Amino acid sequence: VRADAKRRNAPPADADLRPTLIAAVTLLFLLMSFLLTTTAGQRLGVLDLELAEEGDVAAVPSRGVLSNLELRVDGSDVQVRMAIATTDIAAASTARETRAYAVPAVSGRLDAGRLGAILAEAKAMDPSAESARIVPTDGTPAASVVAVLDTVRGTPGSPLFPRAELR
Amino acid sequence: MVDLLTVLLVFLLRSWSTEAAPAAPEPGFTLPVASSEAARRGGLEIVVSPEAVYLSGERIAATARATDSPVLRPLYDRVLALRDRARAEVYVDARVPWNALRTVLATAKAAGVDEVSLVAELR
Repeated sequence: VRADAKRRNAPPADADLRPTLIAAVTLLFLLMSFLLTTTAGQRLGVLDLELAEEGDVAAVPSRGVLSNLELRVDGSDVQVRMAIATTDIAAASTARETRAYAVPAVSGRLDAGRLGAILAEAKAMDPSAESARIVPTDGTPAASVVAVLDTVRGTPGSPLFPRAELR
Repeated sequence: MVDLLTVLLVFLLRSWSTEAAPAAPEPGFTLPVASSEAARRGGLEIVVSPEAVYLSGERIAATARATDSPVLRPLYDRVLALRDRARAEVYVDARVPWNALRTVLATAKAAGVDEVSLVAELR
């Protein structure tokens, strides 16, 4: 009985499949036009901000191997400064060495690769460090500020300094 | 043909967003680019273009006014008058200078906005 029913429901061997195909293509066209009218080609994300207020004392802690990580942004040029403990950080007076790196713009754009490498090196020295201070000059365009902030925070898979503060 | 359309459909579903940015106030408005995958959480919509500052689509003041004062008074008054101002999303044009953006962000904070986020286009 089951075999008979199957034979009855199956399309005949010489059936014309074109109407089915046309229906499928029409459905896909309709779905695509619906998607194109209700969505946008721009994917957006947000960067939560930590803003220093007027007169705030620097939030960057001075303990740990790495401290006072500061990035001065001027246009697309960046100066990175940080203090590295050269003696036992638990000692009463810890000797610190200040290191400075220049990250000049490449073809008028931020050299995010070099900046990321410097920050990754700093993070490797003190994996517990999470804070950084970003100090853009007045005329720095928002694109550079966002690019530096994005690089300083790192990616969700390999975060660098997620508590970056803008001054 | 059906395969091609299916692939196109999957691509569209993957790469397009249902949350469009507010309409660009001026031609040439471009958001900065970032890799942050954090999703938008809504709130007040503040748009800062090279020409003007907008709150929920309404022009509030010229951006030039934000470059030479610590607080943008018209924006401060408008935000302060709003009941729901816990969060704000700032859409800034990539060309806007930091001193203008800083003033807008500081104004939102001063008016009682607890969480301020910058919206960027995903890389």
